[in-house]
Amino acid sequence: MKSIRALFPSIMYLCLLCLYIISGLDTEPAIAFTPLKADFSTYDPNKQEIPGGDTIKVGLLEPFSGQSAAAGEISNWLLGWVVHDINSQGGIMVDGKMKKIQVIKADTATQPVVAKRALQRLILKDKVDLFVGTAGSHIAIIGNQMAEKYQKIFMNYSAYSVHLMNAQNFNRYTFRTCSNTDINAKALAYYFSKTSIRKFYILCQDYSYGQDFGASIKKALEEFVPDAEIVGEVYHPLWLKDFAPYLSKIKASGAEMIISSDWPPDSWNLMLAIDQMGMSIPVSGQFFDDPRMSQNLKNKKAGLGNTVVNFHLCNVETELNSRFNKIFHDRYKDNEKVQISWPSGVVGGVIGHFYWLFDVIQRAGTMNTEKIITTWEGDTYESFTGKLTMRKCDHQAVMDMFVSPLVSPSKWSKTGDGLGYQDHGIRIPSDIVISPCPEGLK
Amino acid sequence: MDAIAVMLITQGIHGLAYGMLLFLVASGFTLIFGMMGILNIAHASFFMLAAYVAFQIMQWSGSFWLALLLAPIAIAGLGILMERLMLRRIRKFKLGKAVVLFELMLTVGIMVCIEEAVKNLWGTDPEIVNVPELLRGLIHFFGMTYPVYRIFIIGLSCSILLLLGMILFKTRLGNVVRAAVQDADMAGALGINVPLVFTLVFGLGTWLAGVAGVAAAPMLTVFPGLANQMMLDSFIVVALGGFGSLFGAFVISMLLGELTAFGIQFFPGYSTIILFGFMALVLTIRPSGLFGEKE
Repeated sequence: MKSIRALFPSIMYLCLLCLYIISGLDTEPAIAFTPLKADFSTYDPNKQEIPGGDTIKVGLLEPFSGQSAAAGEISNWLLGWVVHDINSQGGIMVDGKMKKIQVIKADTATQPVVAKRALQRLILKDKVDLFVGTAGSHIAIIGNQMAEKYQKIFMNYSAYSVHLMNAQNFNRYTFRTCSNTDINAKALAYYFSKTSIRKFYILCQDYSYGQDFGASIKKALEEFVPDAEIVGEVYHPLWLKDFAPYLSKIKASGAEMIISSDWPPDSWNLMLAIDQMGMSIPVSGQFFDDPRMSQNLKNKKAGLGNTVVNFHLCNVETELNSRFNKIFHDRYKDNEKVQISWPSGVVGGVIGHFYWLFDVIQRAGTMNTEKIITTWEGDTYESFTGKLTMRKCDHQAVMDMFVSPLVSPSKWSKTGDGLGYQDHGIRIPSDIVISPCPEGLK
Repeated sequence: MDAIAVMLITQGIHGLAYGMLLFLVASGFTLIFGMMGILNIAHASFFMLAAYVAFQIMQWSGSFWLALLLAPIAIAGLGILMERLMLRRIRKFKLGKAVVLFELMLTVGIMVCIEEAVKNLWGTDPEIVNVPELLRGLIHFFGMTYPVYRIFIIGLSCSILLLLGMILFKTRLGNVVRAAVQDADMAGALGINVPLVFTLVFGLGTWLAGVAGVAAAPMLTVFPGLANQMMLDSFIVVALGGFGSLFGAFVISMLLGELTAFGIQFFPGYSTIILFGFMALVLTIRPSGLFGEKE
């Protein structure tokens, strides 16, 4: 009996040791963040806290000057939202420590040479752990190259050119969470196959993304709407000053719908020109739902029927999306400065994708690049509007796509009775829009 | 009228409207260079700033007309301050031919300052200036429709061109200005206050940029890249028209507007090549511009 008593502390010690080992086998960290938990009423992208100490350094590669500076500020706002949420919960458990996220901005000015310099500074001087971005496929390609050269993770959430992840440009450090030109085009064409619209005019910006989208939409219309007629196709210079001559040409073509990959300020100026010329032709694309533009249209017909395609829309009904909509709307519905009172396509989608990135890091439990790659490849994540899967072969996110025409009155407009999405977005399953893995990938 | 004729005439008017807007921007630029020899790189930034000031005035008062009146005056005031406090000081240093370089650098610095100030004051989001109620809608003629606001821009530019011509060539003030430009020392000896004349010319140049900025605001979104958007085109106008030639600026603005509109109509993939090819051709044949003096 005495000997059993003497052994008791040792047995207890052994039991505790076993428990410790078993718990160590569990890959889930002890503390995990939960999306949308923070108090967002205080969140201000211009007054973001800069955490001290050992942090996860994330480079934000975006234009903060030049014509596309607004795109950079929006990305800063969206990334800041997620960082605010996670940091207010204490950060992420990596390498045995709770670390907060620190965002370091780098200005591309939407110029490849400037972007390359900015990235070198981010990687070599600021020593970021990974970087995210960016507006412009011609800039994202620089991101791809630098990610491979310095073996840093690059999350591309807003450059859509399909070529970015083909055999020539793919590398294992770059992950694209947004859709691509093929996916967007297929989703739109599939939607049009269910409507009576048949005469299309392609109007895109004259650079890699616009050219790719033009090629994608022609291919997709051929596949889904064989009786579609492309009555014209024009590629205009980036940041065009006057759309009127293009619109006169389009008017004469008899087109029923313009398909355009334009993004702001071009997408805004196109809509303003349609408005001022008293035209009623709708435009379909990814960026023709911006409430900041649509609420200023004076001609009641302008913008009506614009068809938006995106990987996220606020009018898609899921439990998580409804919760997200409410939190976002409560934060911005009375905000005079922010005209986006609902998390429209890109806004909501990109926030969801940032949560995915940090969730991957959390599950990897380390900032080790190789571990993050293996965790993310083939990963599945439940985002606001549904499941996101990172395809292993080309690091292209696979997800359902959403389409919504704009109507008036819309409950999704800032005022509740202006131009905005129809009540419910149309879901187009991922297996319809996704293309097979590109050939020749290593 | 048949559809093709309608399309051609409409494109012609589009070219005219854009050309006139371009002339409004370029006229101030060429005036300052022609009269004072200053290549004001910040000119397009004054144009952008005027658009923002107009936006702000409209936010406060809701009146486009008040914006059209006040914003150019505010911009001219800023231009006058720039000339009095900065450019004039540089000239006092007797830097010889190098003065042009220092003036150029100064105006580049001011351009950057304006762009950064705009970003800090109004942010980077594009802003929209609404077309005033009176100029909204379409005008119908010969079976065609055309936006009233674009016709207004054509009219406004024509009026300003006439006004400028009258002031410079038909008034005593114009004689004084031209005399001061021709021979500043002689004009000074005759009792003309040459520095004041230069200040007035600079003010007038920036006022023109201001008018152009307000007029362009409802046609384009107002955002910090607006200056860059107009800079290249207005520079082409001034270079091809001949630095300092108002008439040259007018002719080239019209040509550029029409080349753009018809280029888009008939050779959409080549409209930029046509534009810059034309520039290369003119500068090769006549480096001083079509209406510029050889000096």
